Amino acid sequence: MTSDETTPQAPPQSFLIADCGASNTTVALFDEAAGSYRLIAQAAAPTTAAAPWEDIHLGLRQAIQQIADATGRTLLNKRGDLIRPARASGRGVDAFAAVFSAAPPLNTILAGLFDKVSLASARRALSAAYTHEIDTLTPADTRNENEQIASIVNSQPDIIFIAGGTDNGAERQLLDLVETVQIGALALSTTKPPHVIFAGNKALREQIRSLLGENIHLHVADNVRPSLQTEQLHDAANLVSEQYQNLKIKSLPGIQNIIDWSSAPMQPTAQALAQITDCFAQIQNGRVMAVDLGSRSVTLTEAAPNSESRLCVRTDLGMGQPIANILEQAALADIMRWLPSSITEAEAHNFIRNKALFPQTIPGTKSEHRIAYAAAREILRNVVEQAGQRWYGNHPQTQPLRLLLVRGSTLTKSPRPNQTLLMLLDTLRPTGIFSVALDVYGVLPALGVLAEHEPLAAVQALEGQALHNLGWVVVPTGKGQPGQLAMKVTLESGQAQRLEVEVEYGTIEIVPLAPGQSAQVALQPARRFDIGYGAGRGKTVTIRGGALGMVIDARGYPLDLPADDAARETLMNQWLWDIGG
Amino acid sequence: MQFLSHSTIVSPLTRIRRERLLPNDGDVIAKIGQEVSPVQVLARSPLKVTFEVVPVCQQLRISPEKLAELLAVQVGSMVEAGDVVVKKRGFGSKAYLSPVNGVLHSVVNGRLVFSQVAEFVELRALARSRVVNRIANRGVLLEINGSRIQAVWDSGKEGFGTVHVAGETAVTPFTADPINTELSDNVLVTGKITEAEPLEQAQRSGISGLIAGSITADLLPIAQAMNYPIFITGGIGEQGMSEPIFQLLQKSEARHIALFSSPPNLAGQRPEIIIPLEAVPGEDLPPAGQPLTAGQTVRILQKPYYNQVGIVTQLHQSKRIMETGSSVYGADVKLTDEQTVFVPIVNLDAII
Repeated sequence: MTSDETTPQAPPQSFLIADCGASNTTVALFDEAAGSYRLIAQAAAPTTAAAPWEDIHLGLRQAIQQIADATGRTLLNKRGDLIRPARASGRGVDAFAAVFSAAPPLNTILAGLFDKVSLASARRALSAAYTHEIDTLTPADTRNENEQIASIVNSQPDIIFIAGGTDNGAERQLLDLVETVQIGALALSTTKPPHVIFAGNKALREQIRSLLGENIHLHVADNVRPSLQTEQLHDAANLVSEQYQNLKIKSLPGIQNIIDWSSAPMQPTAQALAQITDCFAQIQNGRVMAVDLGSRSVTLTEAAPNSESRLCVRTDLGMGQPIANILEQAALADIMRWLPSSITEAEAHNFIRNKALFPQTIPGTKSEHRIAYAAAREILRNVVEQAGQRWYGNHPQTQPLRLLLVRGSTLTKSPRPNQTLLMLLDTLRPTGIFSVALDVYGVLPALGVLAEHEPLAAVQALEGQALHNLGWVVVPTGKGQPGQLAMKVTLESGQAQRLEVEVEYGTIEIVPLAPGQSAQVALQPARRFDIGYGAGRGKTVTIRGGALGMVIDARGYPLDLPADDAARETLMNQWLWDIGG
Repeated sequence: MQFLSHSTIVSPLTRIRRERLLPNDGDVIAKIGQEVSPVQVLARSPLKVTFEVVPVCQQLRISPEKLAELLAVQVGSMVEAGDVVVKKRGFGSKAYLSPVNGVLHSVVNGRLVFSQVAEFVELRALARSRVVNRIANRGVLLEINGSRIQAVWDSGKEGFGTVHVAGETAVTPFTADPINTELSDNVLVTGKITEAEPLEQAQRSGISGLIAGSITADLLPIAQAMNYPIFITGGIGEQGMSEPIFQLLQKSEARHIALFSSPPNLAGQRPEIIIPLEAVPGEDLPPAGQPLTAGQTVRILQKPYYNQVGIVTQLHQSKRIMETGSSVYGADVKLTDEQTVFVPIVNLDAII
């Protein structure tokens, strides 16, 4: 977030982008100001896809009208349609793009041969889209074929994803499985025919095509596991994402109006976020991670130059309706450990269940706010753990981070961004020297879509104030004893100011640096500590201050939380105090 | 600036239109214009289907191509256990008999696939009403004049009975004391559910249903395990029932009441409590989900005024800071105790 590069002038063009989430629809207007694209206004309204409205277009129009009211610029005509392109009088906008996570996930049955091979790869491909695995069919299934067929018919999946067999490898077992799928899918062909995606042994494609016949919608993707050692997820993941667009987004009530307005194809939010994260990784020339803690899903994506980006979408967790699912994936005690003892288990449990009933609501008291944050921590921890396992297996990622992008109103609209940062550090466990940017206006994925068609406009918008720069963070790796020196920091800013800070192991320090102010920072880790350049190796960087200055987190990972309630509470309060309360 | 708000219907008298839809395609039995009773079946569909796949070619040593010629029944036909399904004539004649009562569903690669409906779902009217529309293969639209209350949670079951208010106030907890077998056809109304034992006692007494303002989170799985429907009108916790809902149910003592659950596959259709009032024609309600206006009655959905009802006196056009520090759009709401409080718009539920 420090780039001083200037971008060439692009022809002036205004654009409106929308992010239709499960709870809220956010709209932002960008236009040329002082020779560059800037965020002019942003507004949000409830997403109106579900009852009582059942017209997603209504909430979108409401948000657009809020922008029109705030800017005095007419954007909608008398019929409520977007005026496009912009008129000479200043009415309307030139371009419109939207991303969607408002639609429910694809109910998916997964069929494959081996849990740790083809099924593992298939799950990675499926987790790159809004899917919900409702059943798995394998040769090792304890159910017989009759029961497997009944399961397909009774669960009425949107898609059946078949993987298995390396290219030119296993055939018979896979064909048996396909026959089972065939019978189940045929039984549903008159009511709700599922779409079948085949991403297994490519030698069987034609056989499977003829086996499934014309009455079953078959889509063929590259084998997700062409050999035991290789994996190719891209094609299958794209195909699944396409099905989400066709079967779910396009079924949203009122969607046709939005399609008619759009200058760019509609995209699922998660894919657009992965796209813009990848752009940032190229621009920053380093590893970039993005986390989106949404109402009905959680997305984690990371990208690095010259490597395929990774994406994990969890539709079973979120801060709205699925928040209650965390109680099935973690014990209530796992959530309670992040709370002061004055809050009871019953209070936390009731709040979480209520939030699931009223996903649009926000905490009304400080204690409810703490409970929401504790639940968010546990959700993020769960997502990060599963994504890490799926992406890296037993070899966790150690490459230092360069940029962390953060989305979701729980994280970006928090009254105390330092608490948000602490939560991110505790759950994502990033290391290295990196900056943190909050997507406070909810524009990041939609800008990702725009970047494909209007790259200059999107880059200029991002370089403007579309993101909120929280500041820089340094997290060394290494273990030590509490009180032992972990790092020395020397900061020199333009006005001959010099500040030296010694950071002890087990603590968090904030080095003040005003937003926008540049400084040269010499970071010298102690012998056993590494900030991404080797143990004990220092680095001098030029940074620009953000809302929180520069944060040094020398607590060491994994965090050792005391089992004793009082000791744990004291330690957590200490960390909160250290990071700014 | 306008603010859209979620809403809840709590209406003493209105013309109610309620869709009754099957989870899957099935047979719609009721006809447009038909007056139906609470127990009347409107539509029926298979809920669970079982399958039996038989490798008949292998068993009879015939080719899959030959099988089509030897079928004694057509694909899609009903069969009974013992019916001849495949007959091989001539030297070494053999027959294959149906193993099930069901349907010869399909023939796939030399295998016979039989299906059997293991479980049906039947949609009953639950309230005396009139069928005003048929939704092809899925269900009907019923019209009822009466009181209508939208709930926020149900235990997954539905039913009907006679209203009996079991608690004195909107916040009285449900206890085992008033429950006996004389209440077997009753739908009980209580302020809040905070203990498991009364739920079990109610099951033993054979009640027809239970309506409460709130239930504590730990009791949700127990409530779902009960054999009678449990409907929650307010939310999770110990806050009890909103006063307008409690008063409406109190006035409905001894009347017929129907509990319509929220079908899991129909997102958006909320659980509803309907009390038919046949003698009086109701009027249509204003549409739900309209922008909030001053004068609107609202219910508050989060603490510190959780479950309280009041009237919007002012909608703020700029954001204000809450106790939590969050900056939000909100409204001033005058509560029944005359206190006026600021509440975020997203924590308001318009009562219509």
